[in-house]
Amino acid sequence: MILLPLLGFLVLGLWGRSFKGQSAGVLASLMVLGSFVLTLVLLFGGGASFEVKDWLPGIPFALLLDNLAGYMALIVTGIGFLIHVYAIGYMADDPGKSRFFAYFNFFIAMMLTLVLADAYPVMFIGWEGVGLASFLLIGFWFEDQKNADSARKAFIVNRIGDLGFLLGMALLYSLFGTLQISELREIMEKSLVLPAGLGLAGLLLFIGAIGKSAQLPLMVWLPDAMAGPTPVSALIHAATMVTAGVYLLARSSFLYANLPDVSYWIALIGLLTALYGALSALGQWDIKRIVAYSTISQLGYMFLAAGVGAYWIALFHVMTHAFYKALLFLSSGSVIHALGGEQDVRKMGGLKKYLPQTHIHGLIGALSLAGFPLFAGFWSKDAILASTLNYPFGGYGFYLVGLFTAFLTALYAMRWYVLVFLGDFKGQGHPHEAPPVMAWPNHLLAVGAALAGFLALPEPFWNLIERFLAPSLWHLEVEPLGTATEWGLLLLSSVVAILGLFAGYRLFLGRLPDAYLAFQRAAESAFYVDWLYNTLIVGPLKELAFGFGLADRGLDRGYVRLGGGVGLLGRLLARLQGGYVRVYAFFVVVAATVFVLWGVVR
Amino acid sequence: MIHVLIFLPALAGLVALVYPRWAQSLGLLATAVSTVLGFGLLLGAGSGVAAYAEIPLLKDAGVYYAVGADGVGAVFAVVIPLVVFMALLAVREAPGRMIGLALLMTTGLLGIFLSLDLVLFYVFYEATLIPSLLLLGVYGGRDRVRALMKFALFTLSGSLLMLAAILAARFVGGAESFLLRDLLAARIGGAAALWAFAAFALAFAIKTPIFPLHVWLPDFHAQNHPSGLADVMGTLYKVGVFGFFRWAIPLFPDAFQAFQPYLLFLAAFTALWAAWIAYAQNDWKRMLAYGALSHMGVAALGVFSGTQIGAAGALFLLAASAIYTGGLFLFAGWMHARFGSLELGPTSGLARHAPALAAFGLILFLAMVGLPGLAGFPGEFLSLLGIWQASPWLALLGFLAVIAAAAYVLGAYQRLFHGPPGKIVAELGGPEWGFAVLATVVIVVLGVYPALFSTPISEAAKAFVSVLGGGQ
Amino acid sequence: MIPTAILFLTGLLATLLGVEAPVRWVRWVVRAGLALALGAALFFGAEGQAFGGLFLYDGFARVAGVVGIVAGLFASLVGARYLERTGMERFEYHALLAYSVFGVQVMAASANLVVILIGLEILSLPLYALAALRYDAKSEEAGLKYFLLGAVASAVMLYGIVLLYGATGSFAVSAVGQGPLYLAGLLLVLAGLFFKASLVPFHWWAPDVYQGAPTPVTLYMATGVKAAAFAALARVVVGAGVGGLAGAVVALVVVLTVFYGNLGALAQSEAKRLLAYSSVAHAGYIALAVFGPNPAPAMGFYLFVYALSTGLAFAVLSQLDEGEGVPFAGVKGLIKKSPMLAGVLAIALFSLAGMPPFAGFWGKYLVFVEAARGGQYTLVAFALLTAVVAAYYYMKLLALAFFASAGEGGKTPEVPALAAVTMGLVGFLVLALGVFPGLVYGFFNVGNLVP
Repeated sequence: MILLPLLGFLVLGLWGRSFKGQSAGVLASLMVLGSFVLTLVLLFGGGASFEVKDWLPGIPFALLLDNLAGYMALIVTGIGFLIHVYAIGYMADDPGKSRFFAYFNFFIAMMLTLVLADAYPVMFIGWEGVGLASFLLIGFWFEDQKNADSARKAFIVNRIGDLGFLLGMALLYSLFGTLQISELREIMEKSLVLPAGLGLAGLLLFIGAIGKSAQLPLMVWLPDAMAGPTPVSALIHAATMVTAGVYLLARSSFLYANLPDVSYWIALIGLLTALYGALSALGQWDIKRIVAYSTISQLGYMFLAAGVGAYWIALFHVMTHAFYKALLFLSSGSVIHALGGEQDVRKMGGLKKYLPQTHIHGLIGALSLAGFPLFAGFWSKDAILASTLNYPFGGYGFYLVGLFTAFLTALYAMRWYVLVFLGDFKGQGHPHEAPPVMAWPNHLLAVGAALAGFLALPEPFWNLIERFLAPSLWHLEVEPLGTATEWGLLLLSSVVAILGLFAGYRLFLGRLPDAYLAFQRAAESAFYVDWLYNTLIVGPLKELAFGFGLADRGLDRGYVRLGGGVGLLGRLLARLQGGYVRVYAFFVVVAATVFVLWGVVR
Repeated sequence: MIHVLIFLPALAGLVALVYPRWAQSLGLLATAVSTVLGFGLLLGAGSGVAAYAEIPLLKDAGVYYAVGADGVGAVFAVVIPLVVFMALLAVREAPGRMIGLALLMTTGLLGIFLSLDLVLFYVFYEATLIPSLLLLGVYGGRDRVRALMKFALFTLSGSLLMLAAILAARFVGGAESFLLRDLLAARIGGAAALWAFAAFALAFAIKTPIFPLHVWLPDFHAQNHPSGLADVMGTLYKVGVFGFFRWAIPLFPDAFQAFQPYLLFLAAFTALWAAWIAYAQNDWKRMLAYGALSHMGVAALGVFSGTQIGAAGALFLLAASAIYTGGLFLFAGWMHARFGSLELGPTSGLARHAPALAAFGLILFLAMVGLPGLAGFPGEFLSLLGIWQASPWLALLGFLAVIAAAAYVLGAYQRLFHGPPGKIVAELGGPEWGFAVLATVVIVVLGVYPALFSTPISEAAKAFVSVLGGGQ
Repeated sequence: MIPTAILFLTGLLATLLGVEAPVRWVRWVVRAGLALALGAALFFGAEGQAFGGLFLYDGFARVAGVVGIVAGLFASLVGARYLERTGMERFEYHALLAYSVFGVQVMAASANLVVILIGLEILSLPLYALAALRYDAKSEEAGLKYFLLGAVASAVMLYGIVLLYGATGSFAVSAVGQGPLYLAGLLLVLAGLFFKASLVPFHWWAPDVYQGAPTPVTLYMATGVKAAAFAALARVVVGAGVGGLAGAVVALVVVLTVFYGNLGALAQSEAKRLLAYSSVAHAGYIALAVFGPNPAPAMGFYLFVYALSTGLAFAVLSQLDEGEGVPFAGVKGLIKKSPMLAGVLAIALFSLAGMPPFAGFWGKYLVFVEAARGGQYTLVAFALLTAVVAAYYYMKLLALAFFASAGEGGKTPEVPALAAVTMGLVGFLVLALGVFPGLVYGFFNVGNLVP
């Protein structure tokens, strides 16, 4: 499974130039499709595992395909395949496209490593691998300094999270002497007493997840990551990389299920991130940045779910989100493609007329995001909100804020849709619809974004996902909410979503009130967090680097002084050697006398 | 065979000094043979010492020529000639005599890692300094004499005091000879051990190097020949971590435990301090020097943790960093050949005209960042696991440095390769491909299958830990 | 005993021949005599004694004697160019050299204080003349200084011998007495020997004389004389017992010597004077050997490799010296003018700095081992610390020769073939002994110093 895309990467990376026309993209797509099929086959064959003992001393290289891994792998390869196909069209005219597809395949390979890993260090390989791939992809158009900077920012901010991951592993190792996930899980199942420090380990791993999934306070890299080609944004955000954090939490559910305090923090951070992302999304003008902030917000929801203990719901949302977010990004891509690279929504509008297909895609995506009843996003988001009430680490506060955020979500989803597709066209040129190779993946994604929610319906209907994932997750006792309450909540959130959509429709088609404009200015710069980080942290650190450099030189000079001091002493001593025999003779006699006196007196 | 392995490079080196025109091919041949022999040792490495040989050198004074390869020795018996071999593939304009000196150094380095007699170790340790000094002095930059003096004085202040401690190690305890096993059988204790350990620690701290004894390093690299060959040799010569592992700690375990907290702290501080400074450097070699220093801090932490896994990680890191740091110095040499300068500022956008060069550079840089799947990761990771057991807080400090590597490394990478394309530069050409492919393969193999090195190293580390009295 | 006789006869023959025969003959006679003596010492050096034990040719005497012969031979073989340029090529030079080497044999081969003093005078008197032989102000100053201060030292030593005799009733080095008289006598004798061995604070003559004397003479002084002085010193100290006052005094002197010698060398800007200070410092290292249970092998080995190394350095300077010494500018860029000279200079300096794989390392190693066995760890550490300073000035000289661009007026020195071969051989020997010290160690492994 991993080897196929890796092979694609190697072939394309090494002999990329010999691939003419679209063959590179086709090859890459086939590789991913192959992985997808293989995953399906293996999964229905009852899973698989692979292990190299003593890969590192005491740490095996272990892969495991269980239901959870299979579920994620299917999302990764399935959606990844669609995005690959789309990219064939999107990147058709780029001279570096074989390089692009090489990176793409590499990304998928690393993501699969991450998902299939049965040992934290192995997961870390994938974890860093996807980070690298995103670094390469964001900086794909490296000749623009800004892109290169964004790529670096993404990588470095992620590294901060990685520090948490690394230290978390170290702590787990010192507690249990192993880093194999299945072994750790067995230990946790058997032991009744939790070792002290386990909470810290959980917290540290969680920091890793924060970095990768762009949660507060490490979310700053994600909007900048929009510098890459659009399929990249889709691949990174929607399907895969950012959900790695959620996956980590779900994989480690055996850990977090036993750590209420840490889980509380996870939920809280998730909630705040959801709110922050939604608010910031309201102020953006770049078509992709709007979607990016919405991703931050949606990831916040997933963390909220994972935090309250509803791991399967978090994963459910991962899937629905993968569909509609990929759809949103790819339709944005189609729009950008149609407008020849224009990304500012103020220069769009009225595209409904020019891009009928894309319009439908965008609408479905936006509705699904907004949680419009019966769309995929509706079911999963509602499940999250409901879970805050009945899962062990939940609470009413979570529910209310979550609900408010859902309202905001509907609002900005509508804003995006309205600004892009409705009204009058404010740009120049004649937009044209994308070619079929780009349209078809969108068709499929649109179907998913609309219908994927039906895989897991509330009581009394079927719930395939919870059942499917249950063996891989830690079992938590959950009090059922009762069918009536559940459907009541469902109704409430539908009302909120529709209200938000309606408000958005009214608000953004007409003139905006002044209060909103003021808010918009703050939201546009994402509440000045970037600026804050730069002045408070990045700047001083850089200055300190120069300062320390000077200090190091000073140290150097200190040693030179020391050497000079010795030399000076030498010169003074050598001055005794004046050249006069009488002085020498005097010295000799004095020395002899002193010696004799000393010897005799002693 | 082990003698051939050790002395073949020196033989080639001597010939090269006389017939400089043959230097490169001779050197390639000799190091290739040594590498293959070393690989044989590695494959045969078990828990004990392989290929042990003992010849009296000064029998009455208890000095033996005693060599042999345990797991660590075997790993370095591969790494050292391999790195030199790669370096010789990479350099294009190195004078023949310079290569000869590098080959002499190779033998010295092999001797350092394979000696099992303390005086012999010292002999190799000191002898290696001479070609190293000549490399710097003859082929260095404008300020080379100053750099040379600093390097020589630092090294010697450590090693000469160590000589006193070496004598103490034997005569205080009344060991029969300077053979490692005899010394271990009659270990010394008390105040004498404290002093002796302090002297060893000073010498090895200078050679690691550890703050505040590192100031010779940046100038050493900045002033060396731009081809990078001398820097590679210098990198290999940073044997302090190994010295602690093989000699200082096993000979004086109690004294080590008394000093351990301070050593750990200094090592962590070194790692962080150097990483931070690396960020502010504008010269390729200075940046690499500080970066490598930071890595050595982490390796030192690993050994000082006194755990099997930490020590194994430290030595893995030492071996791997020789490969990628050396590779980066050579890479800097290529840049110098292309631009005539080692500054990091003025050129950019290389990836446009030289994609293969950029790709190779990226692999080296990423190995330095410690990306898993490449050679840099296993060592750092295992060190971390060990350090955590010794002191979680210092692990945090040390690993901040590892993380920070991303900042200075990627910064340098992007300044060079990204951005608007500047001058058109030559793509990888001719023998450079050989180096690039070989280095990439080695870095990836060590990253993907670290067990190749980590298993034998770990075996040796087991013995190390048992000396310290238990642990894991 | 045979070598001693050969040397005496050589001196006589040289003197007689010198009256009529060309200098060339005398030169070769002396060289042949020295070589013969060396061969005899190495291969027929049967131990023995004469004059009722006053003359004691034991293993250690043999070792020290060999060092003296090697030093004399070395000076003779490499000095030709210098003698020619400075107009010193007269038979007296060769004859005096032979006498002085004879003096070394005598001084080294006795455990009797009076005989030691006689030997000292035999070796010194020719040297006073040799130092002044160049016939210029500097050379004469050097000769005079050496003579005057030497006279003081001899007087001090003689007085000490008298006191010792008074206290113990014996001239034997092993005669141990007590009381202030004995202690004062012992210290005065030691002071005299310290002077000859150029140990601080009795070294004052050394820098001035070494610098002013003709360079080949300096070569011999720095190596051959030291062998004799240390042979006698070791016998006296060991005879008196290192546990007592003698040991304490030597320890003090060692500290002063390595400190002063090495630091003082830092301030120098003339190569001969720098090496003079360095040879003072080396005297301190050699003296360390007396603390061990078996000082003879270490001391002998050190003296030998030190003679080779310092000799080699002075030999190079002899080629560069036009009679006015060798300021640093003269060494600058030597590698370009004469790679061969630069190469052997490097070997010499590395060996002096005690870096393996050069012979000097093993010399240092052995004396430090002896000191360590004697428990003098502090002393060892201190000596090694000052060795760092030493490394600095050796390196400075080396950097001048190798890494600096050539100074103005740099003529390529023509090195006579004989001198070149000699230096090459010695350089090779220094390297070979560095790699295989065991080759010759057996020769130095001799027994007791005191009968």
